[in-house]
Amino acid sequence: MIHFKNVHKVYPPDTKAVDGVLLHIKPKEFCSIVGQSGTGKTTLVRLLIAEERLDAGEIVVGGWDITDIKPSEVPFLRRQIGVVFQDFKLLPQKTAYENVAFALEVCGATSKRIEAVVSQVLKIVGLQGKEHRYPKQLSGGEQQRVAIARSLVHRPKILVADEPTGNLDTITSREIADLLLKINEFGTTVLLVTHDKDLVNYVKKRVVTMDGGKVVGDQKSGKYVL
Amino acid sequence: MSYLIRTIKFSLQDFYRNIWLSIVTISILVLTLVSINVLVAFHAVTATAITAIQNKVDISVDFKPTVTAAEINTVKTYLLGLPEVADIEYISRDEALARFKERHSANQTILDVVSELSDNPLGASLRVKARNLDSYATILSALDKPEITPLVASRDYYNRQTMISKVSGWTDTGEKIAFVFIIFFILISALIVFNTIRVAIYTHREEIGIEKLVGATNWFVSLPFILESVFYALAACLITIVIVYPLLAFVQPYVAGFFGADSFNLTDYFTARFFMIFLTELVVIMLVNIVSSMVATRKYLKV
Ligand SMILES: Nc1ncnc2c1ncn2[C@@H]1O[C@H](COP(=O)(O)OP(=O)(O)OP(=O)(O)O)[C@@H](O)[C@H]1O
Ligand SMILES: [Mg+2]
Repeated sequence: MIHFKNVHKVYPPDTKAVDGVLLHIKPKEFCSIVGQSGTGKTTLVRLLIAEERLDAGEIVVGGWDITDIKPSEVPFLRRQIGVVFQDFKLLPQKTAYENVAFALEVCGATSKRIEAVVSQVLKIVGLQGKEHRYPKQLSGGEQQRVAIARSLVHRPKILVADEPTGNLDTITSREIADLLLKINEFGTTVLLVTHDKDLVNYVKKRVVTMDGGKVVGDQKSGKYVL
Repeated sequence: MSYLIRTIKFSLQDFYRNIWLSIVTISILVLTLVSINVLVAFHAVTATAITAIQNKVDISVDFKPTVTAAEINTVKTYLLGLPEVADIEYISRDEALARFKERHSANQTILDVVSELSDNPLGASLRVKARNLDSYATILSALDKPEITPLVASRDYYNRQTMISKVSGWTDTGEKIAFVFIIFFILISALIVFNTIRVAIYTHREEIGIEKLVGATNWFVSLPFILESVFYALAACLITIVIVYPLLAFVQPYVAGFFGADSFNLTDYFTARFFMIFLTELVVIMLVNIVSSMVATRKYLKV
């Protein structure tokens, strides 16, 4: 599903953020990427959603070589990859429902489709009854659920979560992990980037460890080893 | 459709959100449009002035009151035979008197004096229009024939050429100055619109980031900002129309003073060409705004 073929990324002047990553993530796989701060995990995510361009190597997503993707094609890549961040990135002046609907609106969906899809994804993340609350009326975990719901509106083949639990306590983190596992069971490839050793051990899925922009460990059903 | 409504709402919200910036932007656009209208009005006035001068009689030949109509007719036929002569108007003695009375209709004393005279003191005259601006000299010398001079009481000629070149001189200078101002204002407008859109993008950076993250196309992200600039153009054009008409009414007395009452009306001139003038201006200012907002979105949205 995702092929990183000897990917390099240098931030000017000479920060080798990603330094020859070779990684293959299979369809429907759940893969955690761990590593210390500044080892290039977020950079890898940004390369995957074409927010940054690579300097060398190749990235293929679902058979689509996005190494030299045209700017006009980027939106269509983004609709195939749902992304969730540590800071949720919700619009404070919109309700949970509106935040999720927004993702469909800006892609030109009809209001009928918006209605159907939004209630469906909000149900998946378990937010029924809280649709009309504003982000500040929701807990951190609930806000992250809204963000996850939003990332699912285009029925992406891949869901990338960059430190989704960075702002959450252990129990809430596990709930979010459960949600990601559930989404993975539906057939979505999940890429979980995290610092959280407990969470990785809780998930018990493939663990890729990064250090200095390189992959230094890859375990089938792994533990966070450092 | 819902996208369009959403976008229009977005533009209006932005207008209020940065109300002072909006006012400055629209003021500059209005200034640009008003300066274009000043040029249009100026052009209309000077063109009318030149036509008026062109239609003026070149040479007026006044005959002595004793000269008969037959004699004048001979002179007229002779002059019409000249290639330089375009047209001749014959004004009989009675007509001359009637025109004189009309001209002085406000002055009772003059009218009384005239009516007391038993005989018409005025002679008939010919008004000769030359074909070319410089042929009046030839016509004048043609009138110097010994058969004609004894009949003529006075000759008068009006030097169209000097007058026209004078007026076109002013016109050219005036239009050049107006043109420089317009170009200047258009450049300022482009810069102001660019900056306003830049600020709007900055205000919406959070939304824009999310829009792009969830896969909104570049067009979808930038269109609201381009429409916002179109909205500014529309507002500026409407305000300009509201400003220009009182302005025309204000200068009309001066124009009338120049051409004589009722001869030329600026307001009528604009009304007759309303769509041609204001639609053209709207298109021009819209194009300026669209280009400038597109540059801004390209630069700041990285689309
Ligand atoms: N936009 C940027 N410009 C320059 N350098 C950058 C930029 N983004 C990241 N870096 C550098 O690239 C390196 C890798 O950063 P990255 O964000 O990928 O690390 P990370 O593994 O996600 O860290 P963390 O776990 O703290 O999120 C770091 O040294 C960082 O300083
Ligand atoms: Mg990171």
